[in-house]
Amino acid sequence: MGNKTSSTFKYPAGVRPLRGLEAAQRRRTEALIARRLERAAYEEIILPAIDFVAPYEGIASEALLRRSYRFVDRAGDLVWLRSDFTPLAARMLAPRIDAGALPLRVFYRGEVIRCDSVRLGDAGDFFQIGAEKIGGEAVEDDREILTIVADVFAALSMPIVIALSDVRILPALLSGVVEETTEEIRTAVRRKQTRSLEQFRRSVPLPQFQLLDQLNRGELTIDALRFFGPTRAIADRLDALMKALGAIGGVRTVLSFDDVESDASYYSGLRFEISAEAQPKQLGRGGRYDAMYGHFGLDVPAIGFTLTLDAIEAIR
Amino acid sequence: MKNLRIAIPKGRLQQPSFALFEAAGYRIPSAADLTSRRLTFDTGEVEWILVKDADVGAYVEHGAATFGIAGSDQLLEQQPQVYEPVVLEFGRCTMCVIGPAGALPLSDATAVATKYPSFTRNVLHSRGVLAEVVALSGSVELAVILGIASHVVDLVETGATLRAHQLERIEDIAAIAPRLIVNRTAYRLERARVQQVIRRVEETLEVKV
Repeated sequence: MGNKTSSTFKYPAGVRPLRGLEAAQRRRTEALIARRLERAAYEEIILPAIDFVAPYEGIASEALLRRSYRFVDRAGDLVWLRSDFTPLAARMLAPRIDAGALPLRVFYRGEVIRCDSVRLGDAGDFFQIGAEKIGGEAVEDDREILTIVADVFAALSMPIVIALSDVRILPALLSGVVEETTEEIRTAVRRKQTRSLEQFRRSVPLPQFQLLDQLNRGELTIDALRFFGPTRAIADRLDALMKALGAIGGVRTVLSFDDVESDASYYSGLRFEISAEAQPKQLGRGGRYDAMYGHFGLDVPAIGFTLTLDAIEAIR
Repeated sequence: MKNLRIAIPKGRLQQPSFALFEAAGYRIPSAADLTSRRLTFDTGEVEWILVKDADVGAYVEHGAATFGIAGSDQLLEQQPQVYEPVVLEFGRCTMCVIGPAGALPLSDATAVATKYPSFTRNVLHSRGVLAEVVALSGSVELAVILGIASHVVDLVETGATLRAHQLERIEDIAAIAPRLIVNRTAYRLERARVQQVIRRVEETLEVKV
Protein backbone atom coordinates (compact mmCIF):
# COMPACT_ATOMS: atom_id res chain seq x y z
CA MET A 1 0.00 0.00 0.00
CA GLY A 2 2.96 2.26 0.48
CA ASN A 3 3.53 4.85 3.14
CA LYS A 4 0.43 6.91 3.79
CA THR A 5 0.90 10.08 5.75
CA SER A 6 -1.71 12.60 6.79
CA SER A 7 -0.93 14.58 3.63
CA THR A 8 -2.16 11.63 1.56
CA PHE A 9 -5.70 12.32 2.68
CA LYS A 10 -5.65 15.99 3.45
CA TYR A 11 -6.58 18.83 1.10
CA PRO A 12 -5.95 22.54 1.56
CA ALA A 13 -8.75 24.62 3.08
CA GLY A 14 -11.33 25.61 0.49
CA VAL A 15 -11.28 22.56 -1.78
CA ARG A 16 -13.09 19.26 -1.62
CA PRO A 17 -12.92 16.46 -4.18
CA LEU A 18 -16.08 14.55 -5.05
CA ARG A 19 -16.63 11.05 -6.29
CA GLY A 20 -19.39 8.56 -6.99
CA LEU A 21 -22.91 9.67 -6.13
CA GLU A 22 -21.78 13.07 -4.89
CA ALA A 23 -20.01 13.82 -8.14
CA ALA A 24 -22.95 12.61 -10.21
CA GLN A 25 -25.38 14.68 -8.14
CA ARG A 26 -23.17 17.73 -8.53
CA ARG A 27 -23.16 17.44 -12.30
CA ARG A 28 -26.91 16.84 -12.43
CA THR A 29 -27.67 19.92 -10.32
CA GLU A 30 -25.22 21.99 -12.30
CA ALA A 31 -26.72 20.84 -15.62
CA LEU A 32 -30.28 21.50 -14.49
CA ILE A 33 -29.50 25.05 -13.41
CA ALA A 34 -27.43 25.76 -16.53
CA ARG A 35 -30.27 24.57 -18.77
CA ARG A 36 -32.68 26.92 -17.02
CA LEU A 37 -30.34 29.84 -17.48
CA GLU A 38 -29.73 29.02 -21.13
CA ARG A 39 -33.46 28.77 -21.67
CA ALA A 40 -33.76 32.30 -20.28
CA ALA A 41 -31.24 33.46 -22.92
CA TYR A 42 -28.27 33.73 -20.57
CA GLU A 43 -25.02 32.96 -22.35
CA GLU A 44 -22.34 31.01 -20.54
CA ILE A 45 -18.94 32.58 -20.01
CA ILE A 46 -15.95 30.70 -18.65
CA LEU A 47 -13.75 32.66 -16.27
CA PRO A 48 -10.12 32.01 -15.36
CA ALA A 49 -9.31 30.26 -12.11
CA ILE A 50 -6.51 32.69 -11.24
CA ASP A 51 -5.94 36.34 -11.97
CA PHE A 52 -3.72 39.21 -10.97
CA VAL A 53 -4.71 41.00 -7.77
CA ALA A 54 -3.85 44.50 -8.98
CA PRO A 55 -6.91 45.09 -11.21
CA TYR A 56 -9.22 44.41 -8.24
CA GLU A 57 -7.71 46.89 -5.81
CA GLY A 58 -10.43 49.29 -4.82
CA ILE A 59 -13.23 46.88 -5.63
CA ALA A 60 -12.38 43.73 -3.68
CA SER A 61 -12.93 44.16 0.05
CA GLU A 62 -10.16 43.55 2.56
CA ALA A 63 -12.26 40.69 3.95
CA LEU A 64 -12.43 39.01 0.53
CA LEU A 65 -8.71 39.43 -0.09
CA ARG A 66 -7.88 37.92 3.28
CA ARG A 67 -10.02 34.87 2.52
CA SER A 68 -8.34 34.33 -0.83
CA TYR A 69 -5.27 32.33 -1.70
CA ARG A 70 -2.72 34.76 -3.01
CA PHE A 71 0.78 34.10 -4.21
CA VAL A 72 3.49 35.58 -6.33
CA ASP A 73 3.96 34.26 -9.85
CA ARG A 74 7.29 33.74 -11.58
CA ALA A 75 7.29 37.29 -12.88
CA GLY A 76 6.86 38.66 -9.37
CA ASP A 77 3.24 39.68 -9.75
CA LEU A 78 0.70 38.96 -7.02
CA VAL A 79 -2.04 36.63 -8.23
CA TRP A 80 -5.06 35.13 -6.51
CA LEU A 81 -7.22 32.06 -6.91
CA ARG A 82 -10.81 32.78 -7.87
CA SER A 83 -12.78 33.36 -4.66
CA ASP A 84 -15.63 35.47 -6.03
CA PHE A 85 -17.02 35.37 -9.56
CA THR A 86 -18.59 38.82 -9.76
CA PRO A 87 -15.48 41.01 -10.03
CA LEU A 88 -13.83 38.50 -12.38
CA ALA A 89 -16.81 38.59 -14.72
CA ALA A 90 -16.73 42.39 -14.78
CA ARG A 91 -12.99 42.48 -15.51
CA MET A 92 -13.38 40.04 -18.36
CA LEU A 93 -16.46 41.59 -19.95
CA ALA A 94 -16.02 45.33 -19.43
CA PRO A 95 -13.34 45.81 -22.12
CA ARG A 96 -15.18 43.50 -24.51
CA ILE A 97 -18.74 44.70 -24.40
CA ASP A 98 -20.12 46.68 -27.29
CA ALA A 99 -22.56 49.25 -25.89
CA GLY A 100 -24.96 48.28 -28.64
CA ALA A 101 -25.07 44.74 -27.30
CA LEU A 102 -26.52 45.81 -23.95
CA PRO A 103 -28.26 44.55 -21.97
CA LEU A 104 -26.05 41.49 -21.85
CA ARG A 105 -27.09 38.35 -20.01
CA VAL A 106 -24.39 35.92 -18.88
CA PHE A 107 -23.93 33.04 -16.50
CA TYR A 108 -20.90 31.23 -15.16
CA ARG A 109 -20.11 28.23 -13.01
CA GLY A 110 -17.15 26.75 -11.26
CA GLU A 111 -15.17 26.46 -8.08
CA VAL A 112 -14.56 29.36 -5.77
CA ILE A 113 -11.58 28.71 -3.57
CA ARG A 114 -11.26 30.42 -0.22
CA CYS A 115 -8.72 29.71 2.42
CA ASP A 116 -11.33 29.55 5.20
CA SER A 117 -11.35 26.25 7.00
CA VAL A 118 -14.67 24.48 6.75
CA ARG A 119 -16.25 24.56 10.16
CA LEU A 120 -18.76 22.45 11.98
CA GLY A 121 -21.84 21.70 9.90
CA ASP A 122 -20.59 23.78 7.02
CA ALA A 123 -21.20 22.27 3.59
CA GLY A 124 -18.49 24.61 2.39
CA ASP A 125 -18.72 27.15 -0.36
CA PHE A 126 -16.87 25.37 -3.12
CA PHE A 127 -18.95 25.44 -6.28
CA GLN A 128 -21.10 28.27 -7.50
CA ILE A 129 -23.33 29.07 -10.42
CA GLY A 130 -24.11 32.71 -11.02
CA ALA A 131 -25.85 34.90 -13.52
CA GLU A 132 -26.00 38.57 -14.20
CA LYS A 133 -27.69 41.11 -16.39
CA ILE A 134 -25.40 43.92 -17.45
CA GLY A 135 -26.81 47.21 -18.64
CA GLY A 136 -30.26 47.34 -17.06
CA GLU A 137 -31.07 49.65 -14.16
CA ALA A 138 -34.86 49.51 -14.02
CA VAL A 139 -36.95 47.65 -11.48
CA GLU A 140 -37.95 45.37 -14.34
CA ASP A 141 -34.34 44.21 -14.51
CA ASP A 142 -34.38 43.46 -10.78
CA ARG A 143 -37.58 41.51 -11.28
CA GLU A 144 -36.12 39.55 -14.17
CA ILE A 145 -33.16 38.39 -12.10
CA LEU A 146 -35.33 37.42 -9.14
CA THR A 147 -37.79 35.63 -11.42
CA ILE A 148 -34.91 33.58 -12.80
CA VAL A 149 -33.87 32.69 -9.25
CA ALA A 150 -37.42 31.54 -8.57
CA ASP A 151 -37.46 29.54 -11.79
CA VAL A 152 -34.20 27.77 -10.95
CA PHE A 153 -35.47 26.67 -7.56
CA ALA A 154 -38.79 25.62 -9.03
CA ALA A 155 -36.80 23.32 -11.32
CA LEU A 156 -35.01 22.00 -8.23
CA SER A 157 -38.38 21.55 -6.45
CA MET A 158 -37.11 23.61 -3.51
CA PRO A 159 -39.32 26.24 -1.91
CA ILE A 160 -37.24 29.27 -1.03
CA VAL A 161 -37.37 32.54 0.81
CA ILE A 162 -35.88 35.62 -0.82
CA ALA A 163 -35.01 38.36 1.65
CA LEU A 164 -34.80 41.78 0.02
CA SER A 165 -32.87 44.74 1.31
CA ASP A 166 -30.94 47.74 0.07
CA VAL A 167 -27.43 48.69 1.17
CA ARG A 168 -28.21 52.42 0.83
CA ILE A 169 -30.66 52.43 3.72
CA LEU A 170 -28.19 52.46 6.60
CA PRO A 171 -25.96 55.22 5.14
CA ALA A 172 -29.09 57.30 4.56
CA LEU A 173 -30.16 56.85 8.17
CA LEU A 174 -26.67 57.79 9.37
CA SER A 175 -26.31 60.90 7.25
CA GLY A 176 -25.20 63.87 9.30
CA VAL A 177 -23.83 61.74 12.14
CA VAL A 178 -20.14 62.10 13.07
CA GLU A 179 -17.94 59.32 11.74
CA GLU A 180 -16.82 57.87 15.07
CA THR A 181 -20.40 57.57 16.24
CA THR A 182 -21.37 56.12 12.86
CA GLU A 183 -18.95 53.23 13.34
CA GLU A 184 -20.27 52.48 16.80
CA ILE A 185 -23.84 52.57 15.54
CA ARG A 186 -22.93 50.26 12.65
CA THR A 187 -21.48 47.81 15.17
CA ALA A 188 -24.65 47.89 17.25
CA VAL A 189 -26.76 47.40 14.11
CA ARG A 190 -24.55 44.61 12.82
CA ARG A 191 -24.96 42.77 16.11
CA LYS A 192 -28.64 43.73 16.55
CA GLN A 193 -27.97 45.23 19.98
CA THR A 194 -30.96 47.41 20.77
CA ARG A 195 -29.67 48.45 24.21
CA SER A 196 -26.32 49.55 22.76
CA LEU A 197 -28.10 51.59 20.11
CA GLU A 198 -30.10 53.43 22.79
CA GLN A 199 -27.01 55.30 23.97
CA PHE A 200 -26.85 57.08 20.62
CA ARG A 201 -30.34 58.52 20.86
CA ARG A 202 -29.01 62.04 21.28
CA SER A 203 -26.36 61.70 18.56
CA VAL A 204 -28.77 61.04 15.72
CA PRO A 205 -31.64 63.25 14.51
CA LEU A 206 -34.85 61.88 15.99
CA PRO A 207 -36.62 60.74 12.78
CA GLN A 208 -33.47 58.88 11.75
CA PHE A 209 -32.98 57.38 15.21
CA GLN A 210 -36.54 56.07 15.23
CA LEU A 211 -35.95 54.35 11.91
CA LEU A 212 -32.60 52.97 13.11
CA ASP A 213 -34.28 51.60 16.20
CA GLN A 214 -37.01 49.99 14.11
CA LEU A 215 -34.39 48.57 11.76
CA ASN A 216 -32.45 47.11 14.67
CA ARG A 217 -35.56 45.48 16.12
CA GLY A 218 -36.57 44.04 12.76
CA GLU A 219 -39.64 46.29 12.71
CA LEU A 220 -38.71 48.62 9.87
CA THR A 221 -41.41 48.81 7.23
CA ILE A 222 -41.70 50.12 3.70
CA ASP A 223 -44.15 52.76 4.90
CA ALA A 224 -41.74 54.01 7.56
CA LEU A 225 -38.98 54.30 4.96
CA ARG A 226 -41.33 56.22 2.69
CA PHE A 227 -41.78 58.91 5.30
CA PHE A 228 -38.05 59.67 5.36
CA GLY A 229 -37.10 61.63 2.27
CA PRO A 230 -33.72 60.04 1.45
CA THR A 231 -35.20 56.53 1.56
CA ARG A 232 -38.50 57.19 -0.16
CA ALA A 233 -37.38 56.11 -3.63
CA ILE A 234 -35.73 52.99 -2.18
CA ALA A 235 -38.96 52.12 -0.40
CA ASP A 236 -41.01 52.56 -3.56
CA ARG A 237 -38.69 50.33 -5.56
CA LEU A 238 -38.67 47.56 -2.93
CA ASP A 239 -42.44 47.76 -2.71
CA ALA A 240 -42.80 47.43 -6.48
CA LEU A 241 -40.48 44.42 -6.44
CA MET A 242 -42.34 42.73 -3.58
CA LYS A 243 -45.64 43.13 -5.43
CA ALA A 244 -44.17 41.78 -8.66
CA LEU A 245 -42.73 38.71 -6.94
CA GLY A 246 -45.77 38.09 -4.79
CA ALA A 247 -47.48 35.94 -7.37
CA ILE A 248 -44.65 33.47 -7.94
CA GLY A 249 -45.33 30.04 -6.48
CA GLY A 250 -42.74 28.35 -4.27
CA VAL A 251 -41.17 31.67 -3.31
CA ARG A 252 -41.80 33.66 -0.21
CA THR A 253 -40.42 37.16 -0.47
CA VAL A 254 -39.71 39.10 2.70
CA LEU A 255 -38.20 42.43 3.43
CA SER A 256 -35.18 42.12 5.62
CA PHE A 257 -33.10 45.05 6.60
CA ASP A 258 -31.15 42.91 9.01
CA ASP A 259 -28.00 42.77 6.93
CA VAL A 260 -27.85 46.28 5.58
CA GLU A 261 -24.16 46.06 6.51
CA SER A 262 -23.00 43.82 3.69
CA ASP A 263 -19.67 42.09 3.67
CA ALA A 264 -19.53 42.24 -0.13
CA SER A 265 -18.62 45.88 -0.38
CA TYR A 266 -19.36 46.14 -4.11
CA TYR A 267 -23.16 46.05 -3.70
CA SER A 268 -24.64 49.43 -4.53
CA GLY A 269 -28.38 49.13 -3.99
CA LEU A 270 -30.77 46.19 -3.96
CA ARG A 271 -29.35 43.20 -2.13
CA PHE A 272 -31.01 39.85 -1.57
CA GLU A 273 -30.37 36.54 0.12
CA ILE A 274 -31.86 33.23 -0.87
CA SER A 275 -32.60 30.68 1.84
CA ALA A 276 -34.31 27.34 1.93
CA GLU A 277 -37.87 27.47 3.26
CA ALA A 278 -37.28 24.14 5.01
CA GLN A 279 -34.33 25.21 7.14
CA PRO A 280 -32.29 28.29 7.90
CA LYS A 281 -29.53 27.87 5.37
CA GLN A 282 -28.34 30.41 2.85
CA LEU A 283 -28.35 29.02 -0.67
CA GLY A 284 -27.25 32.10 -2.56
CA ARG A 285 -27.24 35.83 -2.69
CA GLY A 286 -27.12 38.72 -5.10
CA GLY A 287 -27.86 42.32 -5.74
CA ARG A 288 -26.99 45.38 -7.70
CA TYR A 289 -23.40 46.38 -8.28
CA ASP A 290 -23.82 49.42 -10.48
CA ALA A 291 -20.26 50.67 -9.98
CA MET A 292 -18.53 47.35 -10.67
CA TYR A 293 -18.22 47.62 -14.42
CA GLY A 294 -17.26 51.29 -14.15
CA HIS A 295 -14.21 50.20 -12.14
CA PHE A 296 -13.09 48.31 -15.24
CA GLY A 297 -13.84 51.11 -17.65
CA LEU A 298 -17.46 50.50 -18.67
CA ASP A 299 -19.91 52.64 -16.75
CA VAL A 300 -23.03 50.48 -16.89
CA PRO A 301 -25.24 49.11 -14.13
CA ALA A 302 -25.42 45.40 -13.38
CA ILE A 303 -27.41 43.02 -11.24
CA GLY A 304 -26.76 39.36 -10.57
CA PHE A 305 -26.74 36.45 -8.17
CA THR A 306 -24.68 33.42 -7.24
CA LEU A 307 -25.94 30.10 -5.94
CA THR A 308 -23.80 27.79 -3.84
CA LEU A 309 -24.33 24.23 -5.03
CA ASP A 310 -22.80 22.72 -1.92
CA ALA A 311 -25.49 24.36 0.23
CA ILE A 312 -28.25 23.37 -2.18
CA GLU A 313 -27.16 19.75 -2.31
CA ALA A 314 -26.71 19.55 1.44
CA ILE A 315 -30.44 19.93 1.97
CA ARG A 316 -31.95 18.73 -1.27
CA MET B 1 -43.12 24.55 14.54
CA LYS B 2 -40.13 22.66 15.82
CA ASN B 3 -38.78 23.27 19.32
CA LEU B 4 -36.52 26.16 19.96
CA ARG B 5 -32.97 24.86 20.35
CA ILE B 6 -30.54 26.76 22.53
CA ALA B 7 -26.81 25.99 22.79
CA ILE B 8 -25.35 26.35 26.26
CA PRO B 9 -21.59 26.39 26.74
CA LYS B 10 -20.04 23.84 29.04
CA GLY B 11 -17.71 25.21 31.69
CA ARG B 12 -17.82 28.41 33.69
CA LEU B 13 -20.70 29.93 31.72
CA GLN B 14 -22.98 26.88 31.94
CA GLN B 15 -24.58 27.49 35.31
CA PRO B 16 -25.20 31.26 34.93
CA SER B 17 -26.53 30.68 31.39
CA PHE B 18 -29.12 28.21 32.63
CA ALA B 19 -29.92 30.51 35.56
CA LEU B 20 -30.57 33.35 33.14
CA PHE B 21 -33.03 31.35 31.04
CA GLU B 22 -34.74 30.00 34.14
CA ALA B 23 -35.20 33.56 35.39
CA ALA B 24 -36.60 34.44 31.97
CA GLY B 25 -39.30 31.84 32.48
CA TYR B 26 -37.92 28.87 30.58
CA ARG B 27 -37.86 25.34 31.97
CA ILE B 28 -34.28 24.24 32.19
CA PRO B 29 -32.86 20.72 32.67
CA SER B 30 -32.92 19.42 36.22
CA ALA B 31 -29.77 19.09 38.32
CA ALA B 32 -30.03 15.32 37.91
CA ASP B 33 -30.19 15.69 34.13
CA LEU B 34 -27.13 17.88 34.13
CA THR B 35 -25.05 15.44 36.11
CA SER B 36 -25.78 12.71 33.56
CA ARG B 37 -23.65 12.20 30.46
CA ARG B 38 -26.35 13.50 28.19
CA LEU B 39 -25.76 16.51 25.99
CA THR B 40 -29.33 17.27 24.85
CA PHE B 41 -32.37 17.94 27.01
CA ASP B 42 -35.92 18.54 25.88
CA THR B 43 -37.93 20.50 28.44
CA GLY B 44 -40.97 21.00 26.22
CA GLU B 45 -40.63 24.54 24.93
CA VAL B 46 -36.87 24.33 24.43
CA GLU B 47 -34.35 21.74 23.42
CA TRP B 48 -31.09 22.49 25.21
CA ILE B 49 -27.76 21.33 23.87
CA LEU B 50 -24.54 21.43 25.85
CA VAL B 51 -21.55 22.19 23.69
CA LYS B 52 -17.94 23.22 24.11
CA ASP B 53 -17.80 27.00 24.52
CA ALA B 54 -15.65 27.38 21.42
CA ASP B 55 -18.30 25.62 19.35
CA VAL B 56 -21.44 27.56 20.34
CA GLY B 57 -20.90 30.11 17.56
CA ALA B 58 -20.57 27.42 14.91
CA TYR B 59 -23.72 25.59 16.03
CA VAL B 60 -25.72 28.81 15.93
CA GLU B 61 -24.17 30.06 12.70
CA HIS B 62 -25.14 26.91 10.85
CA GLY B 63 -28.63 26.70 12.27
CA ALA B 64 -28.11 23.65 14.50
CA ALA B 65 -29.26 25.92 17.33
CA THR B 66 -31.32 29.08 17.03
CA PHE B 67 -29.77 30.71 20.07
CA GLY B 68 -26.64 30.29 22.08
CA ILE B 69 -24.65 31.85 24.86
CA ALA B 70 -21.13 32.59 23.71
CA GLY B 71 -18.30 34.46 25.32
CA SER B 72 -17.19 37.43 23.28
CA ASP B 73 -13.66 36.01 23.44
CA GLN B 74 -14.85 33.11 21.32
CA LEU B 75 -16.79 35.43 19.04
CA LEU B 76 -13.67 37.53 18.48
CA GLU B 77 -11.65 34.40 17.75
CA GLN B 78 -14.10 32.41 15.62
CA GLN B 79 -16.03 35.33 14.08
CA PRO B 80 -19.16 33.32 13.39
CA GLN B 81 -21.78 34.98 11.20
CA VAL B 82 -24.40 35.48 13.91
CA TYR B 83 -26.24 38.35 15.54
CA GLU B 84 -25.40 39.30 19.13
CA PRO B 85 -28.54 41.05 20.36
CA VAL B 86 -27.89 40.98 24.09
CA VAL B 87 -24.74 41.56 26.10
CA LEU B 88 -24.98 39.64 29.35
CA GLU B 89 -23.97 40.65 32.82
CA PHE B 90 -22.27 37.51 34.12
CA GLY B 91 -18.84 36.07 33.39
CA ARG B 92 -17.25 39.39 32.54
CA CYS B 93 -13.50 39.60 32.26
CA THR B 94 -10.82 41.25 30.18
CA MET B 95 -8.63 40.08 27.31
CA CYS B 96 -5.17 41.22 28.33
CA VAL B 97 -1.57 41.18 27.31
CA ILE B 98 0.30 39.43 30.09
CA GLY B 99 3.99 39.16 30.74
CA PRO B 100 6.58 38.63 33.43
CA ALA B 101 7.24 41.51 35.81
CA GLY B 102 8.89 44.37 33.97
CA ALA B 103 8.10 42.97 30.54
CA LEU B 104 8.22 45.27 27.54
CA PRO B 105 4.99 46.35 25.83
CA LEU B 106 3.33 44.24 23.14
CA SER B 107 4.99 46.32 20.44
CA ASP B 108 8.28 44.70 21.47
CA ALA B 109 6.95 41.14 21.66
CA THR B 110 8.88 38.38 19.95
CA ALA B 111 6.46 35.51 20.55
CA VAL B 112 2.93 35.70 21.92
CA ALA B 113 1.29 32.59 23.38
CA THR B 114 -2.48 32.43 23.35
CA LYS B 115 -5.62 30.33 23.09
CA TYR B 116 -6.85 32.95 20.63
CA PRO B 117 -4.39 32.82 17.72
CA SER B 118 -6.64 34.38 15.09
CA PHE B 119 -7.63 37.31 17.30
CA THR B 120 -4.04 37.78 18.47
CA ARG B 121 -2.72 37.79 14.91
CA ASN B 122 -5.26 40.47 14.00
CA VAL B 123 -4.18 42.60 16.95
CA LEU B 124 -0.49 42.22 16.08
CA HIS B 125 -1.07 42.93 12.40
CA SER B 126 -3.14 46.00 13.17
CA ARG B 127 -0.21 47.34 15.18
CA GLY B 128 2.47 46.25 12.75
CA VAL B 129 4.05 43.93 15.30
CA LEU B 130 6.04 41.08 13.76
CA ALA B 131 5.82 38.55 16.58
CA GLU B 132 5.27 34.82 16.30
CA VAL B 133 1.94 33.57 17.58
CA VAL B 134 2.19 30.40 19.64
CA ALA B 135 -1.19 28.70 19.72
CA LEU B 136 -1.87 26.79 22.94
CA SER B 137 -5.07 25.28 24.27
CA GLY B 138 -4.68 25.96 28.00
CA SER B 139 -2.47 27.12 30.88
CA VAL B 140 -0.98 29.65 28.53
CA GLU B 141 0.77 31.51 31.35
CA LEU B 142 3.28 28.67 31.40
CA ALA B 143 4.56 29.82 28.03
CA VAL B 144 6.16 32.96 29.47
CA ILE B 145 7.17 31.22 32.69
CA LEU B 146 9.03 28.55 30.71
CA GLY B 147 10.39 31.07 28.22
CA ILE B 148 8.74 29.92 24.98
CA ALA B 149 6.95 33.23 24.61
CA SER B 150 7.68 36.81 25.59
CA HIS B 151 4.01 37.66 26.15
CA VAL B 152 0.63 36.01 26.54
CA VAL B 153 -2.79 37.15 25.35
CA ASP B 154 -5.46 35.64 27.56
CA LEU B 155 -8.49 36.36 29.70
CA VAL B 156 -8.02 37.87 33.14
CA GLU B 157 -10.83 37.81 35.65
CA THR B 158 -9.57 38.35 39.19
CA GLY B 159 -5.85 38.31 38.43
CA ALA B 160 -5.24 35.52 40.93
CA THR B 161 -3.48 33.29 38.39
CA LEU B 162 -1.18 36.14 37.38
CA ARG B 163 -0.28 36.93 40.96
CA ALA B 164 0.36 33.26 41.69
CA HIS B 165 3.02 33.25 38.97
CA GLN B 166 4.41 36.79 39.47
CA LEU B 167 3.05 37.82 36.10
CA GLU B 168 1.80 41.29 35.21
CA ARG B 169 -1.13 42.63 33.28
CA ILE B 170 0.64 44.77 30.69
CA GLU B 171 -2.29 45.98 28.61
CA ASP B 172 -6.06 45.54 28.41
CA ILE B 173 -7.11 44.76 24.85
CA ALA B 174 -10.84 44.08 25.02
CA ALA B 175 -13.64 43.88 27.57
CA ILE B 176 -15.16 40.41 27.39
CA ALA B 177 -18.74 39.55 28.22
CA PRO B 178 -20.97 36.69 27.12
CA ARG B 179 -23.58 37.42 24.49
CA LEU B 180 -26.89 35.92 23.59
CA ILE B 181 -26.31 35.05 19.94
CA VAL B 182 -28.88 34.11 17.34
CA ASN B 183 -28.83 32.49 13.91
CA ARG B 184 -29.19 35.15 11.24
CA THR B 185 -31.67 33.33 9.06
CA ALA B 186 -33.86 32.41 12.02
CA TYR B 187 -33.77 36.05 13.13
CA ARG B 188 -35.24 36.95 9.80
CA LEU B 189 -37.66 34.10 9.19
CA GLU B 190 -38.84 33.31 12.75
CA ARG B 191 -38.94 36.93 13.79
CA ALA B 192 -41.75 36.82 16.34
CA ARG B 193 -40.37 33.81 18.18
CA VAL B 194 -36.82 35.15 18.14
CA GLN B 195 -37.85 38.59 19.33
CA GLN B 196 -39.83 37.02 22.16
CA VAL B 197 -36.76 35.22 23.46
CA ILE B 198 -34.65 38.36 23.18
CA ARG B 199 -37.29 40.39 25.00
CA ARG B 200 -37.60 37.87 27.80
CA VAL B 201 -33.84 37.82 28.32
CA GLU B 202 -33.58 41.62 28.21
CA GLU B 203 -36.45 42.01 30.68
CA THR B 204 -34.75 39.55 33.01
CA LEU B 205 -31.58 41.63 32.92
CA GLU B 206 -33.54 44.82 33.57
CA VAL B 207 -35.17 43.28 36.62
CA LYS B 208 -31.77 42.35 38.00
CA VAL B 209 -30.45 45.89 37.49
